[in-house]
Amino acid sequence: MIRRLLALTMVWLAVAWLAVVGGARAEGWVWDLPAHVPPPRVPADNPMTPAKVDLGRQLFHDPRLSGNGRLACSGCHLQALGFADGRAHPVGATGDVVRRNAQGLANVAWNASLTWANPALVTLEAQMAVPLFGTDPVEMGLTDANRETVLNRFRSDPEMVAAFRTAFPEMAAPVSLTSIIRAIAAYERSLVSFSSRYDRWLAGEESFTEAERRGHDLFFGEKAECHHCHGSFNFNDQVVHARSRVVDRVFHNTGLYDLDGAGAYPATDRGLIEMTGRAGDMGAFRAPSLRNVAVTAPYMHDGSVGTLEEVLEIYAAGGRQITGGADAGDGRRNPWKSDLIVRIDLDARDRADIVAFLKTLTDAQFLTDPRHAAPQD
Amino acid sequence: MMTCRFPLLLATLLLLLAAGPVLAAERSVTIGFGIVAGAAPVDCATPAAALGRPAVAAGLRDARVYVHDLALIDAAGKVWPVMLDETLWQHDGVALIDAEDATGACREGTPETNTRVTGRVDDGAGAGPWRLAFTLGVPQRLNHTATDLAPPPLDLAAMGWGWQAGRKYVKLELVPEGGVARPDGGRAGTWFLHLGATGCTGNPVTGEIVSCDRPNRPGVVTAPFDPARARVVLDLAVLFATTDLARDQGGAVGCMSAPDDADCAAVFERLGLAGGIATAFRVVEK
Repeated sequence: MIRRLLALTMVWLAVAWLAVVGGARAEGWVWDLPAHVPPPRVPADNPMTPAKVDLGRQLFHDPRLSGNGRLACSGCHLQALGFADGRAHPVGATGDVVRRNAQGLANVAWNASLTWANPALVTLEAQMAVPLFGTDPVEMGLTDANRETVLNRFRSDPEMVAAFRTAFPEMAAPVSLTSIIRAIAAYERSLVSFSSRYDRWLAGEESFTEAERRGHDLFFGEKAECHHCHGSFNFNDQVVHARSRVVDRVFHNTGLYDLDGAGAYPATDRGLIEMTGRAGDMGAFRAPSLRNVAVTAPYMHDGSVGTLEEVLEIYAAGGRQITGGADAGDGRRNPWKSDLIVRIDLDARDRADIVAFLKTLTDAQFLTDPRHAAPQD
Repeated sequence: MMTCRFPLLLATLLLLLAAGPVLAAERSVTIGFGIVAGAAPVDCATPAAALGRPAVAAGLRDARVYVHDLALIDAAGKVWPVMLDETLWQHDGVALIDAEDATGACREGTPETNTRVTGRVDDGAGAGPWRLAFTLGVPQRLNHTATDLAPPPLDLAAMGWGWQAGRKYVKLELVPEGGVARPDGGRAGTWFLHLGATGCTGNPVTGEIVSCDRPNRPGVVTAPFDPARARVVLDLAVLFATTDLARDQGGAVGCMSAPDDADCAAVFERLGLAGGIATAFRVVEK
């Protein structure tokens, strides 16, 4: 009994010590945010530290993390493209084609869910199991069989071992998948983009052109109504932050397809219905953030739209009509389409002005910031 | 679902398990499990068995199953929980049955196999025969944890189910001769059965999974048996009795538990997930 009490006391002491040390280290991270942006929610067991973010940055750009050593996270998330990859469909380490478009990673720390249509994945740490271990399709291709091989690549690199030790001083064996996942998640949380022309305009430091100003007003106005799904500081409608008490996690069908006149999306990807089984979730996907949207083409969950101009045309039409081929059908009439997607009267100038406004969301500093870039050899 | 058919039994079971593993007089019990196709064993080395309807020769690529909350039920209907030992195959009441050995087509598996569950039971359980009660899968409290943080046998990446932030309860993968025809005209090599909780929702405020619409954890109660002379088997001949393993009906190839995957209905029924009993499990002499 006494031994048990002693053991318990020691555990509590250890926990208290970790809390103090962890807290102190967390204070080592400064969120450089505009006044109107609340700090993001950071899991208690993975506080932000500069050393951890730096390790995560190295790991994110290191192909040794994939099973066959051929693909880094950055292979499908390129900084210059807002951490999207410019392709309709990413390709995994073993050649598997991924069915959904790679998303940009700007400001992912504030996302309430992390993928196109999955309410189960609400932390970057949990989400990472999909690219690392997923088998359908294979992305990074880690398995039980090659796990130790992958870890040993880092264990045999003295510089990496030192970086792991610095980032995870509380761990006896710091090179582990746990530390890898935590470091990459911390790095992803550090990918903060609030230095675009739009942000400087908000701060009164820069002015908009006439077209950008008109585009802004259309975007946030009741005519184009883009703001319903893209209205937050992050230009999406799934935001969580440090002080969030309640979060709406919403998914929308935007009328991209209707294969059978009853709302069917292509069998390759039918959206949220695959998770919930509810008919009304057919074709429902998360509204992505529009931060850096001008450089993250192609667009939509399946990368099926090439340019912002085409995106605007689809929304102006209240959906997309496809006249031939396997995906033929009138998405404008999809019965599960969001009530917010209706035919709106946007003329060519309106559409061009909205695109001009969207281009002000490009954050050139973010796209070239050496703090986010691959380590230089 | 079984949980609805035996509410009292399960409530008693949970109460007893919650009471903790303190038994006045206890003894060891070993329960044998197996995966078979009719009368024949199923493993990576055994030639392909004829399975499904129409029957097709299907080899094994993976065969692993989690079970938990095991209990013996005596002739009087009294429930005697089995307190599982802590081993590489068992943790906190959960055991992994593993029939693949990483040879042949099972190349992504583990060389070790496990076809038994060991534990302790109160001596009052008598001499048997008993029925065995267990639940397929990983309980909610352990399901949604990271594989890289969990102790064995919950640490296997292959049993992790990233997109539901949980685990595959059943990972049964077959390689039918000639492949699997897909509705889009394509062809796949493997027919997958991945059973797990679906429709899971996380709470972004806490970062935790809060609920899953479909827990997909069927309860199983076997016929009376004596663990010394008999074992419990998952019979693939019964499980796939009305499934055409050479022809996928859409969605994931085979059944990955999507609620509207047409290939799931038949196997879910035989696993006891459609309101009936889990006929795919039965007792056979050792």
